[in-house]
Amino acid sequence: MAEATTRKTRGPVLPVVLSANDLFVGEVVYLTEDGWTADPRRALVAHDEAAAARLEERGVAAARENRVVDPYFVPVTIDGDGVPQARHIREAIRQRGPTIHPDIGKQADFKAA
Amino acid sequence: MTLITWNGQAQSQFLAVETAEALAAAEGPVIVPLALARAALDGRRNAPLGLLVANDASPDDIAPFFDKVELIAIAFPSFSDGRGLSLARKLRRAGFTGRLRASGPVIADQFADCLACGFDEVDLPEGVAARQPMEQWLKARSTVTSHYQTGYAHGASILEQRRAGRGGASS
Amino acid sequence: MYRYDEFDARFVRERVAEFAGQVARRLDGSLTEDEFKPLRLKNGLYLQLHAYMLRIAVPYGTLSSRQLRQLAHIAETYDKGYGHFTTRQNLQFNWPKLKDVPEILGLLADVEMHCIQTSGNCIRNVTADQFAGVAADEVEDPRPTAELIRQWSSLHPEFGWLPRKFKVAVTGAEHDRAAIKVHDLGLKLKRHPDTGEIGYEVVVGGGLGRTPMIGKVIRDFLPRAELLAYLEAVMRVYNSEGRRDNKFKARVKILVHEIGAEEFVRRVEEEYAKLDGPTVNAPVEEVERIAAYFAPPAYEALPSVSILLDQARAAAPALDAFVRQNAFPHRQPGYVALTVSLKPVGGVPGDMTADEMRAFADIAERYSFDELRVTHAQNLVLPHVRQDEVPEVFAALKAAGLATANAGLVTDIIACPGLDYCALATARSIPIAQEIAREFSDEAEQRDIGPLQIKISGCINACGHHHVGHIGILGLEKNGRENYQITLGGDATENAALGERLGPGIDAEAVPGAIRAIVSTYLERRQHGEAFIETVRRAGLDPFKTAFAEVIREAAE
Ligand code: SF4
Repeated sequence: MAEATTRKTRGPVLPVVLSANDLFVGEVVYLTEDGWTADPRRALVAHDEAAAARLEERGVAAARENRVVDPYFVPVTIDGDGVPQARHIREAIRQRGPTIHPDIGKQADFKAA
Repeated sequence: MTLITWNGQAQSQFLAVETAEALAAAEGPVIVPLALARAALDGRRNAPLGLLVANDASPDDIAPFFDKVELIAIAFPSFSDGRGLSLARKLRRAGFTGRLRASGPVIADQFADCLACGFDEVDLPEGVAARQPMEQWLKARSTVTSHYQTGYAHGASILEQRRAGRGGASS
Repeated sequence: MYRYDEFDARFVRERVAEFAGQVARRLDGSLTEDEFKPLRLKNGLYLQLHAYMLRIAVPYGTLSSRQLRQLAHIAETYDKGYGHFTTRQNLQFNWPKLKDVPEILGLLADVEMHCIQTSGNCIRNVTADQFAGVAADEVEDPRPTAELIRQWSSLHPEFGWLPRKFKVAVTGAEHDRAAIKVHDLGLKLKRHPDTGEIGYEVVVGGGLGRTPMIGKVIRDFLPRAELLAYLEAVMRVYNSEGRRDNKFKARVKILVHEIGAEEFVRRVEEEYAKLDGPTVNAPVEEVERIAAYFAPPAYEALPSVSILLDQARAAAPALDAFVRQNAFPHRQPGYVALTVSLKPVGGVPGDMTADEMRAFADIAERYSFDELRVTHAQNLVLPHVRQDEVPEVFAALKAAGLATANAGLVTDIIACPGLDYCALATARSIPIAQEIAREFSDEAEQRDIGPLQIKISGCINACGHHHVGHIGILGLEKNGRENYQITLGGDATENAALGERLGPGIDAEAVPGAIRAIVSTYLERRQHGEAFIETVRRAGLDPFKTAFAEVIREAAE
């Protein structure tokens, strides 16, 4: 990410969501206001550093409580429908599912209604 | 530190000392780094002595002390560093019959392998010991009852058991 | 094939129980993620991009119908209905849940299978020639050796925490289909020139990944009986002295490279002289016990040529094309081995659905003595088919959608999972394979181009073996975009060679055109029936570089 390397301040490129994998199941999950969701559309978006720090704190706690594995920030843009979309291709694939199987993964599980 | 032996938790009588000054001040059994082995032997009375060796130490450098020390502790800098297992094998092969200790953050899942490679005991830092209580160690010791490899201290190997089953004594 | 005795069966059950306990201890916090990770990896369980991934061992690539049906059942019940065959002859499920894994392991144990050491810094699942026991150029079947090593390496008390992974391959044939020179340790069964006794040539220090190297012969002839003791010596030297300060320099190839092959041999021999060989080695009776399981099946005495098949081929061009492309000569008269391609144009290389697995299991049961093989090219093999029955087999494969006649051709592409699944990937591999296959979908053209191996990896780890592809493709990331480097001239056989880069990396869309340009250059330059790789060797890289530069120039316009 070009932005990430040129930014002078510490911390992630905003806005961000916090993602991890569910420990017991393995599924990609995102932090929301009230817990974790498998649905990327419901991810809580942090627009400033203070909000990002709060996400991170809750992620670290969830990892310590053996609920999720490896929480980390995913820089996003907000699309026209207000849904956070991962900027980087890796995270975009993680948010949707294998590009070769449109019938499988989140892209199939959470089709826009 | 928590000491775990084949039978469960035990008390270490050895005090770990790292410097010549600490050695001079210590009473009773001590464990010293290999570098202090000579000094400890020369200067000490009859209290038992242990050696702490790095996992990449040469068995040739340790062998001269085999009959002079009661215990050799091999350092495990991390549980994922398996060099200590090979060093234990080499020390046993070279004739060390005293107590062999694995010293470091080993996990319960490695207990059986440590014993099979010739260790008698594991000396754990408190953090690991607090998370992994004694019954986990005792269970891990015997979850897998037989192994294929012959020549390790884990009882008759599967190959030996098969041979016994064939009724053959020699090959 | 090998069958478990009571000891093997109990061992695998106990390993399942051990893993179930480890999962429970992870969930209750006894084990941290850092501690659990290597434990789950040693049991084939990764955490990938979307989910956990479970890699199931297919020891030396041999499966029975019953086992394949069980895999189909697992795919349907615990996964999303398909599995993926890998370049190391294993099978991966992409979507298992951690909570289900102990149960899956139990189902595998029911059919004498497991996931032991399919990952992690330990001695990995042993691979072998997919035509073991079939090929005419074989000194001896490599599978008994591979099985002996499988047992010996399983939960080895001393070598479970190596500096890095350690992969072993065995071949018994003159022509190396197991790629032993690009493994950490390769064994080639050979006959002693003077005594006629069977033993091994031992190769160490090959490997791909970020520092590809061709292995060095460290023993010209190791007597068969001394195998395990010698392996123990190699492993002890590596475990004690392999680098642990840098994970990218931790493979045995780096140790061999840094101290030199001669010094490595000296250290191994010194260790070998000290250890108690007779205790470590398997007794003769054990070696014979294992070998007995690999006795040839009950072949019928048949003429070497099947008139029936010849007539059927003359009448059906599709059958004829299939046999010409996918049949491999069998040492038993009247039989043939058939490669079953998992590379239909537009498909995912190496993927197989549960339905396909079941259909294929039926075919193997009925026509191939209940046996099938997995190849490191991510295909399957029916090892012992009666030539007379090939037309029926072809029809059955066709009905199952498994009759693609492209074994070894330009569309028979090896591709790792890449960024569609893999957490380490820098770019996608599968869509690239699909696009190239579409570019060359014309079957007649594929046959005209002839044998050509394209291998694609989605990152520098090289699971797609791109370095040894005749054409290799490596997916990287450049400025946030996927970018692909093309290499030429790699070879995984006894003539092992590493490919060389043709030029700068290109975008995904440009890859099919670049491959087209490379192939056209070959077609223009080939002489008297030369295969692609032969033309590359003779003509050198320059004409291909020129053609490649042209593609890049055009793309830039
Ligand atoms: S080569 Fe890289 S992307 Fe492909 S499977 Fe291996 S680690 Fe993953």
